[in-house]
Amino acid sequence: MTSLFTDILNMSITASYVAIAVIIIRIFLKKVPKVFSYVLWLPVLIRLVFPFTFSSNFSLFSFIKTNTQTSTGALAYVPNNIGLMRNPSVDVGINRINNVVNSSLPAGKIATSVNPMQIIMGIASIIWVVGIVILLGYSIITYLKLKSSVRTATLVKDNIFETDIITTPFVCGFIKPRIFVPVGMSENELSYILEHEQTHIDRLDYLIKPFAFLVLIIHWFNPLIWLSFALMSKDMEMSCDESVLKKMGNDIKGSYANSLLSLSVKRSRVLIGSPLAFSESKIKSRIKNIISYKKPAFGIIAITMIVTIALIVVFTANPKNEQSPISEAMYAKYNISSLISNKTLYIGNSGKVVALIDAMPLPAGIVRDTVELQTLKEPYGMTINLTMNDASNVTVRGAIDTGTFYRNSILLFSLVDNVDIINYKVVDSTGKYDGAAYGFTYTREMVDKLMGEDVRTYAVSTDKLKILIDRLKSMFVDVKVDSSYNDTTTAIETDVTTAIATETTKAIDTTTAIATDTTKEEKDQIEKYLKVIMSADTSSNPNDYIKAHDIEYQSILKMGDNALNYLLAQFEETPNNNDLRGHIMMALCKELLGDRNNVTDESLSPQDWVLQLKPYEEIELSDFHANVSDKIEQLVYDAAVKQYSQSNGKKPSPPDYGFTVVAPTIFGSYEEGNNLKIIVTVYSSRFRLYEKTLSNVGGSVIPAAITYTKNADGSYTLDEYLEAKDGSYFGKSIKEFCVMPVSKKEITGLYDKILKDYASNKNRSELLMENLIEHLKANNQKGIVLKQIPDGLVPLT
Amino acid sequence: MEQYKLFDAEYKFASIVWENEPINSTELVKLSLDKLGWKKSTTYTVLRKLCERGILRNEDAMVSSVVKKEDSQKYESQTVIEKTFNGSLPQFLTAFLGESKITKKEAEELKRIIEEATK
Repeated sequence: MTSLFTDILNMSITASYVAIAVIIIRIFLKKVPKVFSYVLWLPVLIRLVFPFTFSSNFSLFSFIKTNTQTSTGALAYVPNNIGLMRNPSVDVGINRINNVVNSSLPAGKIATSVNPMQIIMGIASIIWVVGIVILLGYSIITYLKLKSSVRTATLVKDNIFETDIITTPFVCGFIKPRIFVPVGMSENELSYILEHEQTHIDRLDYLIKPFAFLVLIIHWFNPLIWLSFALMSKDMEMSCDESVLKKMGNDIKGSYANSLLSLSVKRSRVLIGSPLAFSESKIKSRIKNIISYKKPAFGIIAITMIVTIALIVVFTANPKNEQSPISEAMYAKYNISSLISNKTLYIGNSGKVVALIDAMPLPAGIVRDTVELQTLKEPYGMTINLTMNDASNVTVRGAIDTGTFYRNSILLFSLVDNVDIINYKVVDSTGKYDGAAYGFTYTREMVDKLMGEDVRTYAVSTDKLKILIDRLKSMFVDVKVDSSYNDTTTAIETDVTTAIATETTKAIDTTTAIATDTTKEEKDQIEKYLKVIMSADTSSNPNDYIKAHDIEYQSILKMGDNALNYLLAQFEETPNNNDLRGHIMMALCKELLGDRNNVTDESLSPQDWVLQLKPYEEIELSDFHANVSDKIEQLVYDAAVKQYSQSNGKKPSPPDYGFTVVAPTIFGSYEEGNNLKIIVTVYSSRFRLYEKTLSNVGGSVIPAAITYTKNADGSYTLDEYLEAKDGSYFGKSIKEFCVMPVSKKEITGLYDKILKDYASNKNRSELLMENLIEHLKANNQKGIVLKQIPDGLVPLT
Repeated sequence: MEQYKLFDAEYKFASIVWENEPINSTELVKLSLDKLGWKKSTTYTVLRKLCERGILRNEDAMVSSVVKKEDSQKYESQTVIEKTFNGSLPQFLTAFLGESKITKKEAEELKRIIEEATK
């Protein structure tokens, strides 16, 4: 109901603009037939009833500078999720009003469980509904009372009835409208009045007016709509009067006006004050209108008609969502004016967020699909789904240019104030990479660290934004990150930060895999960055230099082993490396080497360090192979290792990703006919071994259904390894595979069992360690230690 | 002699009875529909009221008058319904919408304006 109320509120605001415009224009239409004023109310009515209209280049709302259009085309000043915003705000298009309104809106407090704005909107919508019920009820009762009191009116002729309990004529009824007149009107008077009322009937006013009133009831909280209704009624009456004059000739003016007057004089016998009347009485202006009426010249009519039609279009149309000419707006493939104008404080403003995303370039061959917004609770996030439809442009050796995504997400962090996480998901629809999905996750924390400042400070002006784009351009020099670290967002959803931590290390890690020669451009780039880092005006501590230009520092790290090779070569070329440059190069090399660094003494000078450096060679181990007695368990181990192995079955195998070890939890196996289904949750983890040090390079915990067909000799052939889906589909996808293999009958209790188990990974972790140790022993690896982030080195064998 | 006061609708209805009495009630319904445009229920309601006031009499579906035409008087209703727009809108709106009564002074002024304009 709150969302309906918000929709109504937005329509009301839109209509108010149109109403104000109509009220102003009516002033200039005083001298022309009132029918033009009358039809001008049509756009107001349309705006009050329909949230969406057509788009046109010519729209009243092009002048009212808001960025409130949603993706569906409706104008929304008050966002639908205003109740859920950390800092609720509306945008009615007039800054002063915005400021006043927004400063009065209560901010959500993190500690409170319900946002006060949510309560206010809830109460407001209840008041709104109560108002409608009261007004509607009152109107219906009044109508029924009137209807019953004129029941005894007596037939005059056709649809005309007379009665002595009324003083002014009126039309009543919806299907077969009747004209009711007071008893005892003179023949002369009656003829005009009947003509007037009959004209009302012919013009269907008896239906239009109640409908307009119904709309008024819905928008009862908006005084401008009340005013509009009053003026519309007046225009309706006057235009009806003019119709009568047109039909019966100008000569009757006097008698017609006199009839109206005498009717209202009769009424004034029970004169009471009218404190709410805001202008001269209606009858007065009607009479004045009648006596001043003359048939206007054809030319005036024609011009007014054209103007009126144009105005109706302008008032009814929404502005086209087009941006200003591209030449001015584009900056380094970014539509800078759209970026600045769609800057928003809230990710909940989907229209703006989508506009922002669409104002940014994507790598060739990739198109945007849907955008999902996580606006209900923190961390606020967005997932931008992309489709790769032309792989040749996108990948080089299977690598996607992630620089664009990184740049775009930094800009989004800058322009969308409250977003915490941005996911890019690319689905390959070319078939070239087996429909693989690639995921890239960026967090605000990550970006702020990388940039060394809050990127939101750039969102203040076009110029500042251009500076940010320039910086980003130089930071991500076509770094190609191998894309095969796919599905990074799967599985460990429960701890997003962990997942992202691994993501960052992986992103850097994977570049090392592409050990190619450093190109000349890369060398130049590294030198350029080094120069920038060394240029800082700071203390003699090398770390301060790095801190001052962290972006450049990170950019070198992004270049991976190419940078490492170059830097190590530089050490060899220079006789003494104990200068600032040497210190910075050492810091870079240490980070780039990671686990391959054999030197543990941190106090060494760069020259000594490089002399002692003998990077660990990676020892390549095969994936874990289980040897268990249980037939089902053996099947699960084989299938899971195959599923999560990075080298199996892929030719050419991607750059080395270490070996895979798995630890399954088996919930049950179900056999029907020749079909076997095993329901499991598998913890898989990949490791790389440098000399004696193992490091974990990624992993997942994913429930799955594994299906097999039984062969004649009693062995089983793997049919499918069906994993639970990601995010909001998680529960649903598990439910779907918790059924018997053939009959598809639900296996009761299984779903709950899986979910309950998923809450803790403790048992699987222990099993994984056991399996890992067993695997190392089987491969004759002794004295191995596992590097674990909080605990340091843990001896395994 | 006391004059019986009849409202417009009642007077018209009674007139049908005076002209046709004694009249079968079914016949009366038919005539009321033709002449007054009344529904059956309306006719019976008014008939019952007039019988209660002792103006008409309804015995065994035959209707006749008790009070004669000469003894009655057409009377204007006191309970005037203030007309509201086209009869379908609540009364409180009339004031707001300016569709209210005019003062005597205003009426005279308007009258003068009309006369001047149509001279």
